Amino acid sequence: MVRASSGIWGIGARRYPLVVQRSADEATDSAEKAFVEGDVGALEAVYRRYGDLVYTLCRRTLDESRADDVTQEVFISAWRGRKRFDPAKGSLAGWLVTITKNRIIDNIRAEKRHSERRSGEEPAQIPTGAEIEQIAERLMIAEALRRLPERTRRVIEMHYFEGWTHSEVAQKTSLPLGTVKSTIHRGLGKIRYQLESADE
Amino acid sequence: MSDRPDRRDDAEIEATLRGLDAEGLELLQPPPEVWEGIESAVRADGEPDGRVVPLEPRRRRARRIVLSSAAAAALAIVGVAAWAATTGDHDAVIASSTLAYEPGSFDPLGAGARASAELVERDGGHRIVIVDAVLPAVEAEADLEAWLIRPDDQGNVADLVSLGVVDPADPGSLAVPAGYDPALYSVVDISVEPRDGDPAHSGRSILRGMLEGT
Repeated sequence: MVRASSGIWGIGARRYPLVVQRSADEATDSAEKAFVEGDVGALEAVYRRYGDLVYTLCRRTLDESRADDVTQEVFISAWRGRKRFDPAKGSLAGWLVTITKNRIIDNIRAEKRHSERRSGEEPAQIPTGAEIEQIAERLMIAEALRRLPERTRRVIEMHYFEGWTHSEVAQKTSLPLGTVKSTIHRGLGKIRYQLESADE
Repeated sequence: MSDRPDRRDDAEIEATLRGLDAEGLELLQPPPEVWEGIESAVRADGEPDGRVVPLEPRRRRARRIVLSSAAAAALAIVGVAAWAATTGDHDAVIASSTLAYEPGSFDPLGAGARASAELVERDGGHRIVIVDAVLPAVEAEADLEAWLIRPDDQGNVADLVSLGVVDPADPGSLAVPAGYDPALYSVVDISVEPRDGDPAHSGRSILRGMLEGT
């Protein structure tokens, strides 16, 4: 799908002053396509983009050593099973998070079995499936928040994290009250879109 | 935006947002050994399949030559690529481009940068080799990334694909993903990409140029 406006590339002059701006979903399509088709460079690009997200989910639920192992397993598994990824069903980030959740649960179950064999005792502080789900949900929202434009993100942070009212945010940012409200509304819409992409 | 009846409502998202704190927003970076392990395992699997990039038939491209000089340059790439394929010449330079900085439009970080890009054929696939490069060091939490851009006949951006991260000190070569015909994805772009999880082009290009047949 082409969304750029016309005539700005200067074809023939061999000058391309266009500042490329595309929607994230279009660029994701390209990265996902290259990934699915088996390009190792795309795997590295995917890791650079989502490695932190996957690793953080692992670290919030596993110890450091197991988090390292599971993060590796997630990307190796995703690479080997890349043909099973269907962009029509959701985003690559959402697919990776789903693999991560499953791998974490597998790892915890295995560790629990080993621990019981070793000592006959329950290992302490094992997150439940619901807790892993909640952590993943929060990280996905945090990820969506990071993708917002700076001003939108800041306004949302002031309202929801710092607890300022719409009027107070307007006063502190010198933005009209209506702009603050519409900025928050649009920002929530973008976050919702990201989450839906990950869910489907 | 979706109008699905089962979509999350704003109240649900707002509740989660209110429950987030600074720690909840912070992402942790995996140690380098994690990627090294992934790379090692992938290499052990052998070369990925499907890396041969199909070239479009000459006749189809010949119709486009009257439409734009960009298409003409692309046609030259196709012709040389076809020659290289028939002669069995590996690592032959099929096309090249001197990448240029565009003052006022590009990121100022690219002001002193320079590089050339060569399209080569290697092991049945295509690679972009960055040569004669003087590339800037980027800020922490950012990388240089190379892209191939496909312009349409009107000169718009029809599509683009990431080739991967570029090391300023050792740019090396980057595989053209399978399925992306370099005769169509004929513009090489290098940009600064923050590590913000957003896969879209940042808009912070530092160098760009069109591949032309050698």
